[in-house]
Amino acid sequence: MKENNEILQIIVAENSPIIQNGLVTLLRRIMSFHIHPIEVDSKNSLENMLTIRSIDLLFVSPNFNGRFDIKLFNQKYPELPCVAIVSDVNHINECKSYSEFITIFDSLDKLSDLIKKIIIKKNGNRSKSDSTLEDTNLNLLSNREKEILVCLAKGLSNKDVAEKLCLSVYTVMTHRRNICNKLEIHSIAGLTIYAIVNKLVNVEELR
Amino acid sequence: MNNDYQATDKMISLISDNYQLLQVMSRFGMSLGFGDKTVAEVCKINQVDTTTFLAVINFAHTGYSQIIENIDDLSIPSLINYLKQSHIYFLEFQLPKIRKELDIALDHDNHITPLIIELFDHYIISIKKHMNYEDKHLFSYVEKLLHGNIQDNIQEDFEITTFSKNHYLVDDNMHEIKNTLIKYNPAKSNNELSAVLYNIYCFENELDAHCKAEDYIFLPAVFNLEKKIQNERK
Repeated sequence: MKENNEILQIIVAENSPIIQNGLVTLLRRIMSFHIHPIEVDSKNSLENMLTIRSIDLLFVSPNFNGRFDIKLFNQKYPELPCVAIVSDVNHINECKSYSEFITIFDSLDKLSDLIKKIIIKKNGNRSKSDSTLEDTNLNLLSNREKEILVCLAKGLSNKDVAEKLCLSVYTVMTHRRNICNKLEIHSIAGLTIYAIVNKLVNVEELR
Repeated sequence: MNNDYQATDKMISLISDNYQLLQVMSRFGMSLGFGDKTVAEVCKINQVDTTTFLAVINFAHTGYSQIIENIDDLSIPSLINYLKQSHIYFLEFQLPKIRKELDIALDHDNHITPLIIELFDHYIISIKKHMNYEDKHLFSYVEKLLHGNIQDNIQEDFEITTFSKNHYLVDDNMHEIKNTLIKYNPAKSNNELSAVLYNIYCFENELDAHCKAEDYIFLPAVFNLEKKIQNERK
């Protein structure tokens, strides 16, 4: 199950086609994220991709195109997490400047956990909102939210709803945002469908 | 033995290998009925740049992830033509077709049917807006670049990296349409509705492939062209 709809753009910079394709195949098999792997073969392509796309994570071999200058790279892209692809476990201690490392003998689960750890760390406070979303997903709407949903389904504007329920427009907007987040529905037509199929409104009332 | 498609391969063997390439062909403006001609021959007849055509189909064949190294060899006008044709295909053919199928499959006695159609119309509008923006701003900017009609300060005209970093085609409406169809199923017949849903998923895949061609072939090629022009001016 995908935990969210965000697509992670992950670059794999590695000169061994077997390792590169192996890693890309595993990235595609990770269930908890939508991952779009990007395979680059040269430093030039790597730089171009970092300039023109929003990249979430880089997997790179310390031997990429000769030797990958991780210190210089970290200076240039301080925000970007870099994971070293280690093909020789005797060289693990050379990976200190990388955010993390993965060896070519690691399992899919380990790879998936590593990505999760990095993304949570990178998103920082954003992961907080993810967990509240998880909790609220399970809960139904509060009575107040149901009331507001019904008004919206009947075609009332935020201002109308505020007047009818004696709330400020700002409060209605906050409720509305919470309703949309909980239901993962963002359009009025979609909210109306939800209200009808869950019998919150009578179809006759809508006409 | 080479493992990428080559100019000397027969066009028919490409299609037999991967039928999805049919769509790529048609959007490059190539028609069927090419007999036993090779890729290069079919490209020549249809005035399509062979290298660019091969780059697009090989990119698709490797799962849209392998970045093309010799991007300077591609023909940007050919790519623009291909992308513009794709827009026409999506807006004028696929979306109206799916809307019609949806209209036939849904039960019009069910009161949520008009709302689903409404969601779909919102979806069409947002896709149209996205593609029209590209036609109007992105492609015309690149055409200006190609003809050298560009201001001294390139960035003033159109900021390609801002565009490319924020280029996503995600629309909540489609997510809601699919969820409603799957969860509440207001259909006359399951066969018809399943068929439409299947077509919707295929459409989304095609759209995704189109966006990836923009992001990982077209935009890097344009970015390189910009750099070249800037260097020449220095």
